[in-house]
Amino acid sequence: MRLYEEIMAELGGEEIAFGGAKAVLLAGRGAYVENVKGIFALSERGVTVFARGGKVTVEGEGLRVARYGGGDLLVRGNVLRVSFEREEAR
Amino acid sequence: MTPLFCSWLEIGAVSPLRVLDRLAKEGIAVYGVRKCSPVRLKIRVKSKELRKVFAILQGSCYTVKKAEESFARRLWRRACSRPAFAAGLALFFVLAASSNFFVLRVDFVGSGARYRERACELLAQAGIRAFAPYSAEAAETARASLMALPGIVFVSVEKRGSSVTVTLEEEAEAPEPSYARSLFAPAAGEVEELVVLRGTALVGVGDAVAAGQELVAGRFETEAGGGETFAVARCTLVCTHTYALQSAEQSEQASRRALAIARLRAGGEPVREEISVRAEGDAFVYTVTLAVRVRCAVNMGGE
Repeated sequence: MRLYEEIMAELGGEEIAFGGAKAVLLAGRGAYVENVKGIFALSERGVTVFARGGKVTVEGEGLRVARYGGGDLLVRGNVLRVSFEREEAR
Repeated sequence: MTPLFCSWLEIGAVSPLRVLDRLAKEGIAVYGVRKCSPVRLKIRVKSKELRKVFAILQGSCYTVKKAEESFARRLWRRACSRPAFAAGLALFFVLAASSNFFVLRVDFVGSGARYRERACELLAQAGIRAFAPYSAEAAETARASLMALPGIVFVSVEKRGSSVTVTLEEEAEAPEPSYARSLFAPAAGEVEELVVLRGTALVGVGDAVAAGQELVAGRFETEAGGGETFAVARCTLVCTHTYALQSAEQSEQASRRALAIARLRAGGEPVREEISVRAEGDAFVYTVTLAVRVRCAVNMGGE
């Protein structure tokens, strides 16, 4: 997504090819997550996915996966929150 | 964007979410996921990738079966199984679409609709006629020709569906403005100035005129004869008024008050004024003679 490149440029990061979890929240409409490595849990109230360094959780109501492939995940529904949980080092 | 041709698959497994990761790893995008139960999942994939999906999941612990196809896919399959029906349907759509390119009816609206016959000829010359294909350029050509019709001030040629609506609007005749025909004196006085641009002057500078007297007549005289018209003229009169005003006292203040009352009554622009006082019983009578300039005009502004 070009949006991420612009955000990275704004942040001053030279590492454009950021491989960590990236997410865009469209409140009430949906959420877009990049660099997804796998889906951990799926329900109408929450979608949790694996990303590098942790898990990204999309919470809301009536959630459904509209597209998943190529490391991108599009979740539609009344998205209320997107959170990232760092994975504890083992 | 969801592809047009998609199919739903039902996956059964202990941990069906892993199927998504597996398909993602193989480059298969999933366009919809429904969790039916903890062990069953419905996913939607591109129809053309179905074989690949089955190949990927073949020999695994997943049970995969085709759940349903997208509407477009079903429609396409049905069309393929009934070629005659599909051909008829296609023909119907082609005819419906192509009928829009043709003109089947021409309607005329607007105040200039009485030019219908002539307008039909001009439209036909431009190529706009029933059962002929419509083109915007032809419509513009027709519009330009129709604008040349006498008295037509607005033309529009619009196509809606297979019907062309031509709007012709004629110029509405402006009502003839009404003019005052003559100039009359608003008050008795002496003519100080008279300007006549149209009409015939009946008085001259220095003439004494009565209130309501016709100063400029609404007619003209030429060598060939006379005729009626409306006057365009302006006149300045000097009107003299005399007022007798009673006061209980004789003073400068009473004199000024009498003069003010006289000015108020006379109106106009004061030219000269005279004031005299005489005793009458216990009171005093102020006699004010006031000459004022009064301007009047007809069809010339400043009226």
